[in-house]
Amino acid sequence: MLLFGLAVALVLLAVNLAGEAIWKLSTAGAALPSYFVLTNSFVVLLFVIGGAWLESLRLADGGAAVAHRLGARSLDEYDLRHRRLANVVDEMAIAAGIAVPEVFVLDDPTINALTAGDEPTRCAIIVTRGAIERLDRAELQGVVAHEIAHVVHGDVALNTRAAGALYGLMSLSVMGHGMMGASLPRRIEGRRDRGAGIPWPGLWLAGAALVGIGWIGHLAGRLIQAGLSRQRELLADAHAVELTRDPQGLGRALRKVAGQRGRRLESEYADVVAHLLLAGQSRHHGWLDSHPALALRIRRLYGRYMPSIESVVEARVAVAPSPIPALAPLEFPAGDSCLVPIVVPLDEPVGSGIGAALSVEALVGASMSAADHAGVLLSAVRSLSPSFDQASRLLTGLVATPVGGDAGQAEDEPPAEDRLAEALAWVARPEALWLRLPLLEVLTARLRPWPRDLHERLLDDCREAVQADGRIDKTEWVYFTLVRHRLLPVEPGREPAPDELRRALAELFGLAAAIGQQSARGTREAVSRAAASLGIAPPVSTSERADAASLARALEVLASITPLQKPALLKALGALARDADDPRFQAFLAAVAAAIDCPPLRVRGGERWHITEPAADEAPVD
Amino acid sequence: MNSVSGLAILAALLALVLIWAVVKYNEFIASRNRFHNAFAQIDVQLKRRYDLIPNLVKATRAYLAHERETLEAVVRARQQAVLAHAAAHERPGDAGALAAIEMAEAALAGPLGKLFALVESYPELQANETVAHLMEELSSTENRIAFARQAFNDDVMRYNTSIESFPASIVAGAFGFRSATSLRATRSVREREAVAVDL
Repeated sequence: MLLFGLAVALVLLAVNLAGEAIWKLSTAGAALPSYFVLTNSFVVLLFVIGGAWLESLRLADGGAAVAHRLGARSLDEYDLRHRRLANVVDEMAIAAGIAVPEVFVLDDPTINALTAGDEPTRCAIIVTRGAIERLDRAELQGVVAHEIAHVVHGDVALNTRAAGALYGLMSLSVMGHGMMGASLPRRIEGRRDRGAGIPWPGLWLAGAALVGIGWIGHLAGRLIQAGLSRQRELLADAHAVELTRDPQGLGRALRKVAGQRGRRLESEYADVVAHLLLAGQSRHHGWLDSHPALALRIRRLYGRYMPSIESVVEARVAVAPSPIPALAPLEFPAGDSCLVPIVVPLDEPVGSGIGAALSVEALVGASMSAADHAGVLLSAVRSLSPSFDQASRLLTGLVATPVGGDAGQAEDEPPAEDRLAEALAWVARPEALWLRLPLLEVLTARLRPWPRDLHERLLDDCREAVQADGRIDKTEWVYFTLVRHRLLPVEPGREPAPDELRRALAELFGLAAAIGQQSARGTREAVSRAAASLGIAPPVSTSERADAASLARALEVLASITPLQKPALLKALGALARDADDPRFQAFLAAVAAAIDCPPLRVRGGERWHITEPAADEAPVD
Repeated sequence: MNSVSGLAILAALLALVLIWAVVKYNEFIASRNRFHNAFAQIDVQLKRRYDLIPNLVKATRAYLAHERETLEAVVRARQQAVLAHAAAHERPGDAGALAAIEMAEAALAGPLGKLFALVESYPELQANETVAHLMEELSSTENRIAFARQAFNDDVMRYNTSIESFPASIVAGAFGFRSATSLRATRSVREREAVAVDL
């Protein structure tokens, strides 16, 4: 607290001096206006103390709040690596005899970890993706034990509170960076970030000035962090060894940290929580560091000097990417709850890709290439790595029909990527349309725990992909709306007014008529039937050209009608297909049903839709 | 006057001692509950292991057809351990039943370690997602058992130290706190080796 006061005073002094200098320079030495110092000080104090106060309020929500601020995500229980991390945390919590903390993963290639939380029972451990990919089990155990040791020692509460205060001190510089960043078209994760298109020098200059002034606060913050945490790190290392009874694990982990090239976390917020991290942010060690030198920590663990280790990303722990034929029969009948109610067309004309698919097992045998693609997609969706690009690629691939030159995002990665690209191209074909919806549902279920801003970015990507190919495929908008509905659910609003309902019906039926190639007369009949079931007068005419916004709005409105009205609506909609067996129309109908939260109906031709039985005990392994 | 103030001082001292004794007593209770809880944790993890083993056996059976004896040995040893466990639950605190669990666990560790090593030597088994998940869960359970034992022993040691240290030992003796026995250290080492065994 004393340090904090001192730091604030320092920042005030610096700002006043800088302000005075600027004033003198720009007015050629005129006297300062009255209240100059007072106003300056007041504004700065407002920022620093206000920032600190706001941040403490935010942090009062426990460790999860910090995790969200950093952009970390909850664990994914299907991912073996995540499972391993969760297990390791459980084990160490047992060893220390404390409540199991929440665990988050931060999408960052470096090895690091941090713990945050205002009380021991509400702590969150955040581990980077680099750490779970590059560390083996024993090393991960050491790292987690170090974090748990912080919890046991009560460092976490202190440090988290300090993070609030530090945010105040560093807020000027964080803001300045933000302004500088916003003024330039910058690259996020290798892709051009849109929305901030034109460089704007004024903003950049202002940002730079803020960074300059904020630098002093930053320095003071760093000093506080250094004072707080260096000794505690060594203590936590010692306690970690006591918990694991194995100095090698943590030792090797730290040597790997020492061996990696860049080690800064790529989050603007990371500086604020630097003192919570496993390993410090900077490469050069000095008196400003929040952490003792790695070499010192390693020497204390081993009792002698040890060289650093170059770490490599381990190959995926288990699921080998190659043998899909072996994988597919094991995967499908495993009774995965997400996949049981797959809706499969019963008697597709032979040779249409799926072949005579009775169930997914038959599908696997019927057409190898189709099964191959389905298997690739399914395993890609299920073993989704916590990387944004991968998720974006899958999602856009499933929502939008990819066109020929859509290699914009395929960058790295060996053959698995090509298989995925092939599979994504395959799923866009009409005969595979039925698979899109279940895949999307699984994918969105996996994406839901991700933070909201990532959802928004994913949706932006989708929107762009849908618009990219220039031709308007309207079903794409239905899928898009569905994904948006799943990822960013809106609050159930009030009862829609009849007017709104009428407009929504017009939009939706207009689109359905276009897909189902229904005549104007048939459309009118269907619309009036739907309107009657909703108890409103039918719209005067159906919309001819639905665009994204109005369609999304229509589906949102229709999602809020009562559950019992929805089947009637879908039935009326189903009557619009000229050819009830058209897979395109069926897929559209299923997507609409999902988007308005209604189970898919057995509409006309419904006998052809068949729910596969959960193949309980006939695992082909036996 | 003098005797009154003397009495007052004596009463105050007595009150202090009494307060100290109450505080100590509560500490002992907390400490004892702590290691009881740690013991329950071991119990939970053992149960979890019994539940996981049949799944692993089922998932690997097709691949390990010619390793029938190993699988059967695992299943048999597990059965024994479950029985011993159930018996210990019927007679809680019975030293003989506890020893039976220890024996059965030791007998299970051998075949289970062999099965782990087998799975590790079959690449196609490792590529199987179900098996990989089961292996991860089982090795985690092994670790949890080891760590729970370790935590139990640490807690027992802390408890014993607190009730045997001098002035507090009077309070402990008066209220009948007995020193607890920790689990044998060799066991936890063997548990860990079972995971890493290499044939």
